[in-house]
Amino acid sequence: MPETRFIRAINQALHDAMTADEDVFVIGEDVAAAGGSFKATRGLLDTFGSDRIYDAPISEAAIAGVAVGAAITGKRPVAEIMFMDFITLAMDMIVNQAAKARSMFGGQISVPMVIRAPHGGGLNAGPQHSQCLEAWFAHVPGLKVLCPSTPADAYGLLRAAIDDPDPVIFVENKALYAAKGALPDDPPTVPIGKAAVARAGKDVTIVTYGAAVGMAQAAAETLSGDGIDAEIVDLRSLQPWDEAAVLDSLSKTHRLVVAHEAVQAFGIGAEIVARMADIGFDELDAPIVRVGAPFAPVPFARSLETAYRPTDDDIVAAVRRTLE
Amino acid sequence: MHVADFSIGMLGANGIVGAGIPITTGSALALKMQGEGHIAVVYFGDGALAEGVVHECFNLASLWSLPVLFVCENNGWSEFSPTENQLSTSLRKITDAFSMAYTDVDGNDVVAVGEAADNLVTAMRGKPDPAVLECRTTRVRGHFEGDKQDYRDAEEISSLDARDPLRKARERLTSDGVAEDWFAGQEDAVAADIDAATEAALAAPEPPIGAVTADVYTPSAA
Repeated sequence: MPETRFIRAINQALHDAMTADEDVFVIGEDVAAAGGSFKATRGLLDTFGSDRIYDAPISEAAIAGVAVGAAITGKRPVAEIMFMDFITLAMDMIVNQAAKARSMFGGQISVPMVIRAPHGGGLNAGPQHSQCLEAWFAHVPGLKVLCPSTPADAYGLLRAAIDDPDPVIFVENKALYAAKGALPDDPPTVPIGKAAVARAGKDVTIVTYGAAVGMAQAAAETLSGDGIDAEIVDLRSLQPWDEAAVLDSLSKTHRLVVAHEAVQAFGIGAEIVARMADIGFDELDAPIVRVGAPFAPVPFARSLETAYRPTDDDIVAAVRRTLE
Repeated sequence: MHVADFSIGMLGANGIVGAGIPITTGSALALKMQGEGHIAVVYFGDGALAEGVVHECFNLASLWSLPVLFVCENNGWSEFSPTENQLSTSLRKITDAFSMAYTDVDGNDVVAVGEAADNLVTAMRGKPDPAVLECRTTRVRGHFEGDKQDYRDAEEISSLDARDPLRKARERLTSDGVAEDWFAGQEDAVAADIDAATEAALAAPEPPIGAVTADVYTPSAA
């Protein structure tokens, strides 16, 4: 199977979605002529023309609002927010408009729009270009939130997001953009709300998503040297999330670690831990341990950022705590 | 507050000041892409002119020649504060800065508003471009039901009746020879409609508890 970079898989998904449905269009800052800050939209202007891909002014609220308005007028916009940090400027349009329109107007309409938002650190980009803010959106009824870890899932979930009738926040980890993975010639869509078992194991479950899946895999390698067999559940979809898959794995391993790059406090992991402590309490042989970033802005200094971001060593330590 | 009827292209009243403007701008983009000569219209108050997203959308609509008519009902009040304490410029100057067509009109004169809107809409259908219609009006009632409006000058409020657009329209029709009993018939018919709607609403059952989650997401087709 051919190997493809993560960013190419995003690009191909956009290309294929625009080919499949002429109502799909792209809007964002520098997405057309420049092909996007991370080149996710490269080549789309040449292929589809300026009626299908729009270089917007630096106006995140307008970009998101225009997407809402176009979506409820029959289009399927895919908006790019250049860095997820800038999504703060679009919050009213996402939270009060896109997420609420269907419910507020008695089910008269759907809002089929996607907002692509690159998150994550490791690029020495500082506190306003590195944040992982996905938990905010998972907390808002009406939104769906996805975060793939492989090129195949990036392709398949983005196609599913664009096909979906409801607003989707599609979170891409910048550190994964150059990563390679298998992508078949005619890649399938990936259903929203379904986790994947990224590594089967029997001793401990590591629930994670996005770039932290790679950290979990490295941690599992280290642990296997000590005879500890970790199972990795890649959530892929954060809202809705696959509670049944996590419970299934926990029922097998009886130990649980939840790991993400985002700030640990009040994060995605907190919800998973709370649910498992409720519905999975009888399965637990040890306290659940979380891995996440400290409660501080992402630092700029390379040394500090390296110390700040969760690593595979942190996951190894967390797993060992569940086995004490 | 959240009245909407998508079957006639009415995209909904918004609880966030100014938020209808980006949504309508996006609708205008979709309509322009569809290329069937349709236009989008958005109504807002002068209070919305202090919201940043409104300026983003004026810029974008003008830049992309979107067929959207921005209708500002300027009643001089931003909730409980006079607009002169809220806005350092005017809609006319803002419109000029963003290179859009601008018309201002006595917003309490239904015929003048109709004519001004007709001119702008006709031009817009011929060539997609945004335009601004500023309707100068008054606010008779408070910002919310029960607002005592004790922050306003009592004489100003009592003088508003003379500017009531319905009264002005009636005076105009009377001078054009419309008979008094025609007005009485209209008033009775409208009052009957309102009474019937009120009775129907009061007689309707409370929504089922399942309605809380029914429309959060679109039901899957399967």
